[in-house]
Amino acid sequence: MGHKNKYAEFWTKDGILYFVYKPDTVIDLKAAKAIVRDRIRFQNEKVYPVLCDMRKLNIVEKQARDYLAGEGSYLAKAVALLVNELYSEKLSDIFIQNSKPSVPTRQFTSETKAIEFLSQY
Amino acid sequence: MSSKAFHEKLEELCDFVIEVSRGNFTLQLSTDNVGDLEPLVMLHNMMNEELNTLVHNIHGSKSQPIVKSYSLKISSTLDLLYVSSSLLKDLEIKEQPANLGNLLTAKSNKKLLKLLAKTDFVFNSEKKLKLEFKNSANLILKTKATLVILNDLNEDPIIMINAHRIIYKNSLLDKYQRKIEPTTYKYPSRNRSLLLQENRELIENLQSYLLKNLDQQFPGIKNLARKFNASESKLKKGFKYYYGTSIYKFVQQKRLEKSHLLLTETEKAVSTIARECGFISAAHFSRSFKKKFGYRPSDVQRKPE
Repeated sequence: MGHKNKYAEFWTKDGILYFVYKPDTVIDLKAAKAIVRDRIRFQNEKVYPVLCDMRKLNIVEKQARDYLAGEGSYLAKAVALLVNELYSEKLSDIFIQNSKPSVPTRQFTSETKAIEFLSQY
Repeated sequence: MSSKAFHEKLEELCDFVIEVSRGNFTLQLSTDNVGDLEPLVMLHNMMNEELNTLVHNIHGSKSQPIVKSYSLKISSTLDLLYVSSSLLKDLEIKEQPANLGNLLTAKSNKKLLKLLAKTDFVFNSEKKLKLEFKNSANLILKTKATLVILNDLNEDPIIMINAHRIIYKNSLLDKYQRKIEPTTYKYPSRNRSLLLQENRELIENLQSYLLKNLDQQFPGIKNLARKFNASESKLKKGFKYYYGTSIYKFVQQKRLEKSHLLLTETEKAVSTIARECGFISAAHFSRSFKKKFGYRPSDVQRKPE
């Protein structure tokens, strides 16, 4: 059984937490806090590797990026960022290099490879 | 995207680059009707945010957050009755336009009209919304605004808008923007080496390490110095310079924030949360928590069933 909020949908399958941002979502600090709160509530006590599909994500503001890199990593073993076209790829580059997530985080264009990476955790 | 629209957007991009090169990080590019330029526009906005953070971290002692407020009075059809001169100055607009619509982005204009259409105009009632103003080069200034109705239904409604935004004020940047002669510009002599990129990276790596190991016992400055191959004083000074707090206080702050989140959003036992957030005992956790938040972990309303 999954969960849905204003910004994303998430569910677990085969020990991985799938987290998919809704199309054209804009994430400011308030939204980032709501996302982390809902995800932690959904996971309850379990720590998961997270597959984060940001292919349809629109804007993530700086404060939100930094929050997601720090507090956003609670109860996450590792994060695979699923990206596609130029923009979401560059957005994830900036997130990984500048905001420095506190758990192992890599970007992928292939969902299969992302799952392969997460299966190590 | 038509050739005309493309050229207009390109011009906005160029103006934006000029603003950033002048040290003005407070404006953003509009993401409306950008066509194929979308990735470039969005990345420019992100670059601006990153540069802003970088500049204010590097000159942390010279930077402080300030609130900039703007006041406006409008009619229900957005006729502009008053606008504070500070807003016109920040938008680089010389004359007050007749209608607020001329100062807002199309998106904000639409949002405001929609909000007013469903407003009852009860005296002193308040509405909150995000408003994006545009400057003479179509660059965006983002604010959070409160609308207050000043008179009742019997009269033509007058709406007061109090908009604000938080920006970092930096005295060095101000001097640079006012084109003060280089001879009067004083490069910081103390802590000068902290500005070097390698030292900045060292402190960023330290911060990242601390965040990753919140659940571990604090290793002590001596061990951190050994791990990062730097002197204790360099780590302490550098951390305080960039993050405005001591290493220990930072770790404590982050542990308490994490524990609060886990308390409210999970059903984990308090003792487990204490351990996962690096506290040596539940009693130590409880004491520190009460000192920070004013109530004990056991007083926190736990995750609803």
